[in-house]
Amino acid sequence: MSEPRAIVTVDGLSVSFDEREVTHGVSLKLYPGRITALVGESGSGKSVTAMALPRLDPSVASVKGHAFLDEGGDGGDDAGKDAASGHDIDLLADDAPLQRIRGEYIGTVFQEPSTAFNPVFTLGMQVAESLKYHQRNLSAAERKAKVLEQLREVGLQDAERVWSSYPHELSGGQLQRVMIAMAIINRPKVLIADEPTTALDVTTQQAILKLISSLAAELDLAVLLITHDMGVVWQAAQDVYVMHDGVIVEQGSVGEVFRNPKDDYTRMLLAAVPRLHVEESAEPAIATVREPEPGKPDVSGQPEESDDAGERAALGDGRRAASIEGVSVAYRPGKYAVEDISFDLVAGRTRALVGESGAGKTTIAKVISGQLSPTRGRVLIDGEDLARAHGRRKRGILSHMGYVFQDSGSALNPRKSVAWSISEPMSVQGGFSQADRRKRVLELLDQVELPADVADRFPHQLSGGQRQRVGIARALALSPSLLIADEPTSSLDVTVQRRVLDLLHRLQVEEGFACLFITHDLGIVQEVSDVITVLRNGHVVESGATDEVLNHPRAQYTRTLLDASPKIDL
Amino acid sequence: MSEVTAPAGGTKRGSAAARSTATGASADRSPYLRSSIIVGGVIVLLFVALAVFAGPLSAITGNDPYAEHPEALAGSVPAGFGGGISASHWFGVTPLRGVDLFSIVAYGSRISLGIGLFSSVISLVIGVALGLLAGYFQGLADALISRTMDVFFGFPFLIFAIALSVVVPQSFPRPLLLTLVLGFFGWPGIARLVRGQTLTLSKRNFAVASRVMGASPAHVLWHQILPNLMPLLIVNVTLSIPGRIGAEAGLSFLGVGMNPPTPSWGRSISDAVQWALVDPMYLLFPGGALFLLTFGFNLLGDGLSDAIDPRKGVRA
Repeated sequence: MSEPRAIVTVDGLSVSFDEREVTHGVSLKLYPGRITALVGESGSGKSVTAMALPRLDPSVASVKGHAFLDEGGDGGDDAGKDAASGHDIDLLADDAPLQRIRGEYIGTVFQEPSTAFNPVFTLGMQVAESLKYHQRNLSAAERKAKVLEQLREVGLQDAERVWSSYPHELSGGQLQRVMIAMAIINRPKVLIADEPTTALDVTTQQAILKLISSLAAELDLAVLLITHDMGVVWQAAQDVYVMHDGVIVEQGSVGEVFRNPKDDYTRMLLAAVPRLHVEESAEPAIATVREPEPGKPDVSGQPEESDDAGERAALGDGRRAASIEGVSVAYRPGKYAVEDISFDLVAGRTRALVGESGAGKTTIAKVISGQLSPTRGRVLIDGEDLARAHGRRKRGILSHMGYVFQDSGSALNPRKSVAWSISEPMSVQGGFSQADRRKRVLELLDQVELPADVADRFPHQLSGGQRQRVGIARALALSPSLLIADEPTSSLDVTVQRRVLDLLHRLQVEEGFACLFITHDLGIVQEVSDVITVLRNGHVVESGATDEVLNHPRAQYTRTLLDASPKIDL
Repeated sequence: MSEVTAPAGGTKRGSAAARSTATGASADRSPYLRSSIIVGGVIVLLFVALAVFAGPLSAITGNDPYAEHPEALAGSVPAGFGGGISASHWFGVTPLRGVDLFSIVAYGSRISLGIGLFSSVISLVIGVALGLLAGYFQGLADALISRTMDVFFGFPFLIFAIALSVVVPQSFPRPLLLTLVLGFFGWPGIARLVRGQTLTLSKRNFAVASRVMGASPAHVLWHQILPNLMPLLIVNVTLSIPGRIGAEAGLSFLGVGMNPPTPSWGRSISDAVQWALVDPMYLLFPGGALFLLTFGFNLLGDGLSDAIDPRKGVRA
């Protein structure tokens, strides 16, 4: 028994929809106490593969192959392989005990915790539900005691409150913990986690991954972690399977695959991941010098930790495309979403606006683009106050600005052609003939590396990356002096993200616009930005030259963010 | 071990195969080529042809909807089979006066279709304009328009229409009056629909993108919101026409619609009810025409809504 026995063995698993095979002969093994990552880009078939094990595949799918779950336990002595296989459960058999498999043998955690719970029942009821079907002899009081104990085990100390809460009363991270509690309450042997942290902030992501790791170790749980994020794989998993177009292209231990990738696709995937490089050695020295009181948010308004000289040096003496002066926004009187924000955007330079969800990043973008008027302070675009301008003048100011949305699919009118959408800024401003507009559209398509025949297609006929390029082309239609990019790559696969980031960089060099780049990913920040502004709860926590801030963070919060961010260091 | 195919998956695969051939056959065809649209469209087109060519069609047998044919009557009841059906009177004649029923149905379709279509257009224009304004400009405009809609919804339409027909001088053309009354009372339904859609569409990113470019409300409403409303409006109007045709017939039935002797399905039905036991065919032809036309529009509207909304299409 020197070599651990695999608890789940999948052999030649193929899933097809409407006679079209989407995964081809996938084989993998899960070991107790180990986290195995299944990594791949969207459409690679990783979720379909994993969901075929508890038979949660869509009803139109047909599944071929073998998948066995070793019931272990009683077969744990020296009975040998042949005898032990008698305890195997064929997961794909048509008489497979589905109810026992789901919950008792395999627990499942889904991607979006806020939609995975039923909003009209308390969380306690929903967690207790799985006990009802798997441990039938428990009384209601015993069930509640068990649920509370389980909630505490996943790190929810105020279990009583969670028990009687409704899903909307908890944060995403807390909900994901409840979901994990629900998945493991019947002590399954296998936990399938389908992108469990994708919808969460980095600090929450780190906590959830730590929880899953410790549960795997304590409960001897075999975890199948499905993710698209190489950073998550590095942070949490021991073994990794790389999936591409329905085929496992590479497998092995995480260290081995990351250090020494053999497959071209794995190499490309790893090369595309934005890496965060920080000088670890420099950190502690500064940490001891300036330690803000923990737990106390910076509410002083002025950036407490800013490196003005470094920031000025990084910005250079280019033209100020926009300056934000003491901007505060209150959605409700007295409650500020962002307070006293000031910074400049300089031609040819990129400022990254970083923070977790709810920090006020998008609010600032809305103020700069004139969708919101600041409650206090002002925004000057090329020296003109946007909030005071109306009609033609406002339109004139906005013509100096391009806006790239997070998801260009939703920012393109589904009933208009690509050419129409790209030329829309020109129709809005007026003064361009039909021929001018067409010529400019083709020029822009060429600039964003799209073929000319895309012009007459509709958004639904394009891929996510192509749509984002169209969104960028539209933002650049009037050669703006300022480009606002609101998480422009967060809905894209890493390899596509890599190409879009490269494109944005090249265009900035060519066009010389100032860029405000909003993101939550510190890895991207390091690549694209010259200066960085870190936001928390509507306040600037720290700002300065990017390398300086990332390597020598002065604010405690910046350090927390940096620690939580996945760093692949080989 | 041989290749294990989960039998559950196997049966699923069978149904999937059946589905794929079904969709495969229709994949290369336009979604608009579905039976409900074809049948409904043919029915509507037949009635349009009947309305346009009412004159020539009636003239084939030398009839018009006003001439009386006492020779076709036996006493006061039409002579012969089926209410007097003959080579010269395809649908028979009316009792008492012996007017050719085919001419009445043919000319009556002009009134029904005309009032149905034009009152829909009036409702559509008012409803879309006010709905867009109410949905896009929150605050005063929205409050005013929405409260006006509430008043219209709460207003007893029938009583108003009856009162109006008494007040308006007889010299005022009746078809025009009915079109206007139905048109002005029909807009709040459309306006409410358009307002709701505008509220959500104006918060969609493509509308926000336009505003960030500095686009005027007119640009956003015309280029971004209206095109996305089109499918909904087409379906809604198609489905509302039969209701209006029925309303015209109802008003004429109550005696406040078309004045005699103008041919009208509603008034013919009203007259025929009194003869239903003696001469049932008199009720059958105008009633059947009304049924068939509203049925045609309903089929067409349902089919269009399935064809335009891809999710509905899958379910159907």
